[in-house]
Amino acid sequence: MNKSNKNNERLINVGALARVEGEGALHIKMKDNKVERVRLEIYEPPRFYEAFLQGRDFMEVPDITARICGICPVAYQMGCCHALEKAMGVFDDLDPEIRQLRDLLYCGEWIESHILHMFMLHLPDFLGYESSITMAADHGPTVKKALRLKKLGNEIVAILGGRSVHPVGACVGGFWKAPDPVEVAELIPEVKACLDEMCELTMFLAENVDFPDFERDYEFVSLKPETGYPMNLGPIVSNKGLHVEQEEFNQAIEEIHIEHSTALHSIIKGKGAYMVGPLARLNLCHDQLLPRAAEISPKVCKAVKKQLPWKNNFFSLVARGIETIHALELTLNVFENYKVPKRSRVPITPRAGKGGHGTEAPRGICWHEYETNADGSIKHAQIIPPTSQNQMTIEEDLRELVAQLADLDDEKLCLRSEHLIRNYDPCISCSVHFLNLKREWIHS
Amino acid sequence: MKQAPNPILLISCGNTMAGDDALGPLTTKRLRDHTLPQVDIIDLDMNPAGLLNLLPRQQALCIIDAAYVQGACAGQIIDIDWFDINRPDLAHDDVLSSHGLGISNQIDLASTLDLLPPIVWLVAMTIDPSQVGDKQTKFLKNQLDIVIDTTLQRLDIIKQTEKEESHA
Repeated sequence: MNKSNKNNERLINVGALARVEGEGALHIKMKDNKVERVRLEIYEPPRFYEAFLQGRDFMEVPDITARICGICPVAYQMGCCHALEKAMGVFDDLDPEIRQLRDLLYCGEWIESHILHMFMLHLPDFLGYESSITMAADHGPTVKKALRLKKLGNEIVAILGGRSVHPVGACVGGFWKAPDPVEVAELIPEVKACLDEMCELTMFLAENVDFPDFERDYEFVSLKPETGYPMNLGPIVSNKGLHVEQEEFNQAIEEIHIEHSTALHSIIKGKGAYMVGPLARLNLCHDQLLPRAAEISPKVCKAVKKQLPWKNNFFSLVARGIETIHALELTLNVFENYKVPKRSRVPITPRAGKGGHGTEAPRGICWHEYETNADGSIKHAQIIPPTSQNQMTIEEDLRELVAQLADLDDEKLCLRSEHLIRNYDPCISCSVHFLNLKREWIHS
Repeated sequence: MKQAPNPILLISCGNTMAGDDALGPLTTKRLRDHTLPQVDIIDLDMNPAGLLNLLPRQQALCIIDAAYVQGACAGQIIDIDWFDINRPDLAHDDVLSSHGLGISNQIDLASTLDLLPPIVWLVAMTIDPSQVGDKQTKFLKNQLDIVIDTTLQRLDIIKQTEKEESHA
């Protein structure tokens, strides 16, 4: 609906919608074709979790927080396990084999989540389809290849987690049970095949997708371990000078209340918005990719005609592709060298303590901080999911995009805004898919 | 050793923390107490997109879910061919599905990719709109046994049909 007033004001409202992880809405106010205000409203259910975790035993936390998201339960499990191991004073006791299995579990989730987002949610935007269903009618073989990869991701999660949906294998201190070497060996041929297939798919995307030209000067933030691509460990850095140890992250950022949203926005203290996620990781750590991913990375750059670092988040589509190749390669390395570890978890004696830790969820840093009582029950919990960290950056993106595309009609502007939001693979993707755009023109 | 999948796949969807939307997960949890040869029972929880990892299946897909039908009373049992035009919308397909990938979308996608078995059946109970934090109502408590019985009968019919067709 278009309305106008005597002040030449234009209001664009992308209606509020319900979703699993909360509710999203977009409101844009323009005056004389200039954007005056952008509000992306998100209501984050993880806040409920922080409250009802209080009083629960620390060993219950991984399985409770896993329920925050049906797509990335591992991210919540990994964040809380590391943070609680710090609180319990066993963080440094973890065996390298346990840490490797944690990376493996994350690989399964990255593969599953990235493929889901790339081929079910994001690619239809680029190819001009309404949904993956209509896209599948024309690109069936590509979608089937993607489904094969997604299935493999789930199988990797299931090997360690006992099941692929809300896995239960991880625990504070390690895993309840180490993977069966027979099951691991059985999957190796499929991992090899999928690795080749993912290289082809990533190049297909790089060579055939027309990426919108939209660059911004972002502050990219990710973990950056000394060796290896970021996943579970490492200090937190940015391209603009941020460099903090894990324990200091919560002091470096600030969660702020925004009038138009019950969700907290995260900013870097004294600076402002920042971006987490695949583009941030790739830009900051592309020199730490495994060989196959490192080999394909310059080929992708050549195909999209842009060298890293990329300042265009529409390239996140192929950034996820490169990360998926890395995850498959890491999986193969771990699988081929797998031996049942001497122990699958370290023993823990409950104590009063405090610990914070961030890991790299598919969508970016997922931060957990806990304070425990002497009996191991949770006294205080804080969870900062990646979407809330990206929220302000999404608003800033939208502000610039809408200004550039002010002449478009409602439908096209809505589609382009949705497409941009989906670059972030936010947990509001589901609502964004069904947003109804309402626009008001207000003239003098 | 990995086992080959059974010819019949029985899945549930739903959110155990969102009132009567817990119908699916609660039903499959109870069905695991029964001996059901040739049937794989999987609760997809809040991740209906996981369905495509479980297909194709040779014989049948049976879905247990809560259904929201505008204007209809809560607590009614539905036992219907998925492709029947009178099939109601499922409760989680819009508001409670992860990332907009509801079970209906997944079945449409599976159909486009020729991954569906010949029989796709829905056993459901109508519910009032629910959201995270809602308590389960008397309808769910009263009707859960009936949903389980209906599902067991439906599985028997599916198996019987298959047997007759293979004999023929």
